Amino acid sequence: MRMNRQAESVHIRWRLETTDSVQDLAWSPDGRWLAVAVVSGSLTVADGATGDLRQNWLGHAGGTLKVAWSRDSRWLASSGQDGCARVWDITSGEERLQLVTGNAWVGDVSFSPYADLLITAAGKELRAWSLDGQPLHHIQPHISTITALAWHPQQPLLASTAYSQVHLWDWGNPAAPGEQILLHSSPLLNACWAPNGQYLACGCQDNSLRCWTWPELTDFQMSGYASKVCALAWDRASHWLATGDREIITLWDFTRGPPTGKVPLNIEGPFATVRELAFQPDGDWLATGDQSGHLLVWALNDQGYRLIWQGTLRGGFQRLAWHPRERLLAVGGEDGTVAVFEFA
Amino acid sequence: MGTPLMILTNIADARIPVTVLTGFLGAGKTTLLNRILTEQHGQRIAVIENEFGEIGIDQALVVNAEEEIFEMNNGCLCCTVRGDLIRILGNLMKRRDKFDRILVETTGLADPGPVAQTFFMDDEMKDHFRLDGIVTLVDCKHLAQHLEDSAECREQIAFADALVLNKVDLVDDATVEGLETRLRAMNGLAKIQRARMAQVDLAQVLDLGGFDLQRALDLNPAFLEPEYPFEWAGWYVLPAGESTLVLEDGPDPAMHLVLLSVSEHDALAVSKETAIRLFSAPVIEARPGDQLKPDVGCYRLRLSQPGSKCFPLQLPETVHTALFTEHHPDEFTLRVLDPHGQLMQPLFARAYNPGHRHDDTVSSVAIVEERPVNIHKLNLWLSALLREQGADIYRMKGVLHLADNLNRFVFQGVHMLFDGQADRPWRDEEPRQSQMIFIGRNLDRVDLTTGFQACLD
Repeated sequence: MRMNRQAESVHIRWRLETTDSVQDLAWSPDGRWLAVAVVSGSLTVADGATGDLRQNWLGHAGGTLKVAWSRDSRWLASSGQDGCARVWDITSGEERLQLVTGNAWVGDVSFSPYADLLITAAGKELRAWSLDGQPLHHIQPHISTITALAWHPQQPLLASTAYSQVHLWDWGNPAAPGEQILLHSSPLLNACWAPNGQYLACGCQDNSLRCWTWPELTDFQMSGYASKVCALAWDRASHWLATGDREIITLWDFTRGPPTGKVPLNIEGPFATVRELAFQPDGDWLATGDQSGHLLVWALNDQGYRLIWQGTLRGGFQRLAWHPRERLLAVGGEDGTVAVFEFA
Repeated sequence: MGTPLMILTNIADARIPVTVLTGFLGAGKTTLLNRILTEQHGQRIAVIENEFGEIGIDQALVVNAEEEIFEMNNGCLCCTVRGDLIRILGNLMKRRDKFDRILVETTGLADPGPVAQTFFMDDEMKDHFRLDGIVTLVDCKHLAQHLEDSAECREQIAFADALVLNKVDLVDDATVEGLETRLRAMNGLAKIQRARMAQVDLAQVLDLGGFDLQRALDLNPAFLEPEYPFEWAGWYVLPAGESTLVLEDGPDPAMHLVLLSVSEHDALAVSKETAIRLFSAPVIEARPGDQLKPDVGCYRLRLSQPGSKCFPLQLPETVHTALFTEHHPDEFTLRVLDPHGQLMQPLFARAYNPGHRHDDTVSSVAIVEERPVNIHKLNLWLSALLREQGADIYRMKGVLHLADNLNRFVFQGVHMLFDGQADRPWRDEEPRQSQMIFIGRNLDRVDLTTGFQACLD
């Protein structure tokens, strides 16, 4: 097996302690900031390079569920169990907007990468807001609670999943979004576009993976998982789709078209059910975090894979996120620890 | 779905207990919920509520959720889970201030299957939560009607670990007695409590994890007694010549009957087993006037013609004969006359617990066995059983006595799913025995018992 870029050394660049289990982690698009949402509600923004606290907000009563950055890295949006989405000004520290959805939990929030538009998913309802807080569209209902939002990487196209359906919203004309429904027959848990924009992948509750091609919308299904497919990640070339269920990472080969008929690559190594998977954005490194608190980083190439680093979060693992450009891996723990590992 | 298998572990169960509250609208679920929340029990409780009630208690977290039933691609009834619970509990389990207990209130018309199955089907839920018990509240005033009209109501009864007969003050004692007997016949496992205004002993509805067949037996000593396809048997010494069975008009147009020649020492013990088998054999139709003979099979006596119906019985010599009848002989004024037309009395007669008498198709079957169980054989048997009958078996609970194992092994299941684990060590004073109970539709006691017997070491 050929050696990929080897991590000469790995060290902790910085760490901080939050008050409760880390619910969500997000690097700002410019890489300057790391936003941390804590399950019981508070929101922290730290300087990505030093770990210095930039902002600390109360967040959402009951709990914060999701955070998302605006494309200019000026605004941080959050959603939570108080029925609201909020938009925070990273520079002044002010809460700029409070968007009331009227639903108990606002499960997801997302800035459009293409226009000044904020999307919230609350229960079965999708809403679009202008960046000054005006409601633009109120789309209801999905057949069930919306489980995921995912923007297409090149087009103003938003996928939302609910139970067994994927909705595709074309925001090319924000005044009148077009809708297309892709049917499926088992509950979808997440959604992830390939970076080349040619595939949409969804993990399913019934131990399978469902993919659609774009724009043809032909679909194919991969099954044989031992458990529900909670974690998904594409590599930057859209050659590999990494999926995790139990202690195995399954990599599907999309190098020349859909993986049908090709034997997937199975990596055994995680010590427990895989919670999260992420490819380093400008490389071929795959990071995994599992339920037992183990962190593993693999190097992948055409010849195979190799473990390049292994670490443990004693207080349990929750989330991980690669810096958009640098080889920095942010990790959030069940005990509230946030650590940024630097791979030299 | 795959083969369900019990995993033997010795890890203490640190999972958060989940109590599910079911019952029709108006049965008193919200009242009970409020009582549980306000009582000083020192527990931190999270409530997942599906009907917007008036709950708002400081010490508890109340989450309103809509029941989202997730069916799987394969259409298997038993794989159906509650998507909203997976999502919400998945979030709650991450918190530092862990909850001591989760309460899930279902809508009135809910089938308890998906909510219970969620804690067996989904790995994440299974790792962090355990189904402690299903508590079903019933409204005494409307229960009889609901049992007639609603499959959901019958399922809520069948699934229950605890049944609360609420609003007993609105009906008379005899009605409560009747309802309790009927519920007991459907679900032999559940603790039954009577209540007004949902005033129950909370210890009787929370922490139901302990399985106790003895409790069920104390309440209903006939519980373990098998059901028979016949209701009565009599032992006659019939002389040579032609005796006659005479039946008058009765409630049914036909009745099954088996005649067996028996030894002088039988006292029905041996012949009873033969009779059980013959009752499930193809019937021999017999019209009034047709000759009957012992040991040929199961007769179906045609009794629709009005007036006395005579069936002659010709014997070459004196024969000890056991007569097994589907119904009690009194219902048809059944008499046996000797060749001289004299009324004969049986030497010995007894009544049996008839399977057919249950008007509710939901019933319970319990098994007690002293000899140790072979877990591998049991796994194979249960897997095959649940593959075929899982849809009809609502609940299954048990304590197993395994060979060479100092610990009790406890397990419970919902439809085709079950899980089990090593429990505390057996105490010196307690009998080492396996106890199992099945609650479901159309259960065959003989089949279940025979199947279990084959799993002994």
